[in-house]
Amino acid sequence: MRAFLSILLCLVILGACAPTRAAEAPRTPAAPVATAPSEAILVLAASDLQFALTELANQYQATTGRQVTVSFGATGNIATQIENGAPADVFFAADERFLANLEEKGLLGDHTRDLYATGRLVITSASSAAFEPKTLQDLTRPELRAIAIANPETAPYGFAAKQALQASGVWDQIEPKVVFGENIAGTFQLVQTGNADAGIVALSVALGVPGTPYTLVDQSLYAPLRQAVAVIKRTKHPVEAQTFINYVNGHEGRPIMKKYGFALPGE
Amino acid sequence: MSVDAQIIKRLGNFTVDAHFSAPEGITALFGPSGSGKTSTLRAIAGLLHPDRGRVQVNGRLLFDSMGRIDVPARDRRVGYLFQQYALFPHLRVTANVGYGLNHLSAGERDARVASLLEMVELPDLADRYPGDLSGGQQQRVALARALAPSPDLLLLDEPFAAVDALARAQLRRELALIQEQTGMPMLLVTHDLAEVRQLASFLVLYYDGHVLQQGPTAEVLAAPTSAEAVALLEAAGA
Amino acid sequence: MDFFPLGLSLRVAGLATLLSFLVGVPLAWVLARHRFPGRDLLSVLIVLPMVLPPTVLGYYLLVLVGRQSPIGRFVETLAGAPMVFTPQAAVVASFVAAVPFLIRAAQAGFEQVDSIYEEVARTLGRSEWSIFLTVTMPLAWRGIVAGLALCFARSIGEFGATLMVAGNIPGRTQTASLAIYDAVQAGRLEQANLLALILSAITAAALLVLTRLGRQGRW
Repeated sequence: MRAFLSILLCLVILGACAPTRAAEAPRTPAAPVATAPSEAILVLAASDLQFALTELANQYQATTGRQVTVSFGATGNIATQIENGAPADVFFAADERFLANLEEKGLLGDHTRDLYATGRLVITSASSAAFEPKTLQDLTRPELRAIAIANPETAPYGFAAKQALQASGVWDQIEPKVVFGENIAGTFQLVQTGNADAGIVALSVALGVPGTPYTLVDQSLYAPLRQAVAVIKRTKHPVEAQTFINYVNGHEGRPIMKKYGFALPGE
Repeated sequence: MSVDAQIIKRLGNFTVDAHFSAPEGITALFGPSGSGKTSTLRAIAGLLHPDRGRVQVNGRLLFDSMGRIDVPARDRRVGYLFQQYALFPHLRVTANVGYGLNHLSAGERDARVASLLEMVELPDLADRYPGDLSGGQQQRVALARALAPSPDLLLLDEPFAAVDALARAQLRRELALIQEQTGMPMLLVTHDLAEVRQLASFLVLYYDGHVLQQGPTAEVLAAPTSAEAVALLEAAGA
Repeated sequence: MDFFPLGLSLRVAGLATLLSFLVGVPLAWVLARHRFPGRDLLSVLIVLPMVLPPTVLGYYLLVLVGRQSPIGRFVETLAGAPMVFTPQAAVVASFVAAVPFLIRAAQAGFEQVDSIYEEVARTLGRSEWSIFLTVTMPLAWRGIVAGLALCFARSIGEFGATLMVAGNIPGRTQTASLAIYDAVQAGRLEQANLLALILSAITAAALLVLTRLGRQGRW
C-alpha cells in the first residue's frame, strides 16, 4: 500500500515537473496558438474558423505583442459552456441566433454584438472517393457510401447543410448514409481522412487545406450563415477583448478572412 | 459459576432457546449438527446478537437484553477457536499470534509470542505463512493466537474436526494440559463423545435449539433424564 | 513538441485516481458488507457515469459545477472564479468518470474476503478501523489494485466530459487526449500520432507497475 501511494505520488510529481505553460509555437499558419501568462484573453470560436482565426491570432500576437488563446468547438456547445460560467472573453459564433440567446440572458457585453462574416457551404470529397460530386444530387449516388455533415443540433453549418439537402429534395435518400461530425472541423477531417467519401463543410475549412476539391452550394438552399461575435459580459479584459474583435473586423483582419472564403459585412 | 448463558434467537425457521451455567474447567456442548451450539458460542463471543437473553462470564455481564447491555466483541475478552482455523493468510505465524497484542510494546509482544509458540510446541515455524503448515500445526497457531491476549474464557467450535486422527489425539492432550496450566475456563462444542469423555468435566446436552440436560459429565452420561437425551447418547455410542 | 498536455494528463489522472482511492475504497467496503435502505439505488448511481455517453455526463457536470448551480456558486465564493474551464474541473470530470470502475472492482474484492477473518480479529480485541487496514484491505488487495488500474486508464483517457466542463484550452486545460483531438481537427496528423503513441506508452507503463503491485502477497 505504501508502495502504491508513493508511485502515485511520483506520477503526480512527474506531471508537475512538466512545463506548466505551453511553449511558444512555431509561426506557421496551421500551428497551435501559443498560450501565455494570465493576461491572455480567451477566445472561444466556432470550428469553421479553425484555420482563419489561428492565422489571425498568430498575426495579432506577432504585430501587437498581445496574447490570445483560442479554443475551437461547436457553437452550440460553446454557448452552453458560457451559460454555465466558462470564463471566456470573446465568442465567435457561427450563427448569430446563439448569440441572441446569450444576449437575452444578459451574458454579453452591451452593444458588443457584431456581425463579422457570412459563411458559405461547400461540397467536398475525399481523394479516395470514386468521383468528385459537384451537386447535392450527386451525393445520392451509391458509389459515395458515407456523407459527412456536422451535427445539426450543435453546429450551424450542420443545420444549414441539412436545410440545403432538404430544400433540394435529396435528404430522405441521403439520410441513411449520413455521418455526423461533432463540429465542422471534425466533419472536414472525416472527409480528409477518407472515412467519409464526401461531405458538406464550411468553405473556410476547405480553403485551409490547399488542394482540397470543393464546390459551392447554391445559397438559396439554406438560410444565410450570419456569423456574429461578442464580448462576454463577465470578462476581466473588456478592452483587450474589443481590441481583438476590432482587429479581426478591421483592415488587418479582413484580408485573411476573405482568403478563407468568408463574405464580409459591407461587401 | 464461570459462564452463565441464556440465548434466545430466531434464525429463519429455527429458534435457539438455550440456558446453561457452566463451572470452571472444560465444558462440552454436545449435540447433533444444527442444534444451536455454534449460535450459542457466537452469541457469547459477541458475533451474534440475541433477540433476548443474558451472558455473564466470571461475574462480568457481557449481554443483557433487559438492562440494554451489549459489550462489543472486541471488549469481551473472549477467545474463539474456529473449526477452519481462520489464520490470516497474509501474515506470518508470529504476526498471527501477536495480532491481539497490539497494546504491548514490540519487545513485550515478541516475548509473549515466543513463549506461546513454545507452549504449543511450534517454535521453529515462527516465520512461516499459514499456507505452508499442516492442519494440526495451523490449529496450534490458532490456539496460541486466541490465548495470547489472556482472555477470560476460550470458546472452541469443533476445533479438531478438520484435523487427522493422529494429530487430533495429540491436540486433545495438549489442550487438557494448557487448561490445567492456565486455569482458563473453556467451552468446547463437539459431537464426538470420546472427546467429551476425555476432556470435559461438565456436559451440556443440546437438541433442536434447547438444552436438554446439564451437569458433571459422568452424571449426565450415566443418567440421562429424558427420552431425547437417551436417544442422543445412544446414537453417539454412549 | 509541446509537453504540457502530457504533464497535465499525468497530474489530472494521478489526482483523480488518488481521489477515487480515498472516496471509492470505503464506499466499496460499505456496499460489500452492509445492507441498508437505498443500497440498490446507490449502486445504480455509482454505475451511471459508466453508462452515460461522456458528453451527456459532461453536460450534467457542467450544470452541476457551473455558475447556475449552488455548488458552482459556492466554489466561486471560495475561489473567486467558477470551476468551469479550470484544471480542477478536469480532475472532477476524470474522477466522476473513473471512480465507478474502482468501486466495482474493490467491492468485488471485499466481497470475496471471508467475513470470518474480520470476526476473528474482533475477538482478538482490535478496532473496526484497525481490522479494515490490517486484514480486510490486504486480503482484498488484488481487487483494489485491478480497480486502480482501470481507474487510472479511464482517467488518463477521459475526453468527452473533460471537453465540456474544463474546455480545451491550450496551455491551461488541454490534456493529452484533448490535444490529440485538436491535432486531428486541424489536420496535424503526425503530431496526433506522436502524442497518441507517447500517451499509450505512459499508460502501459503505469498499468505494468500496478499489475506488479497487485501480485504482492502470497495468498
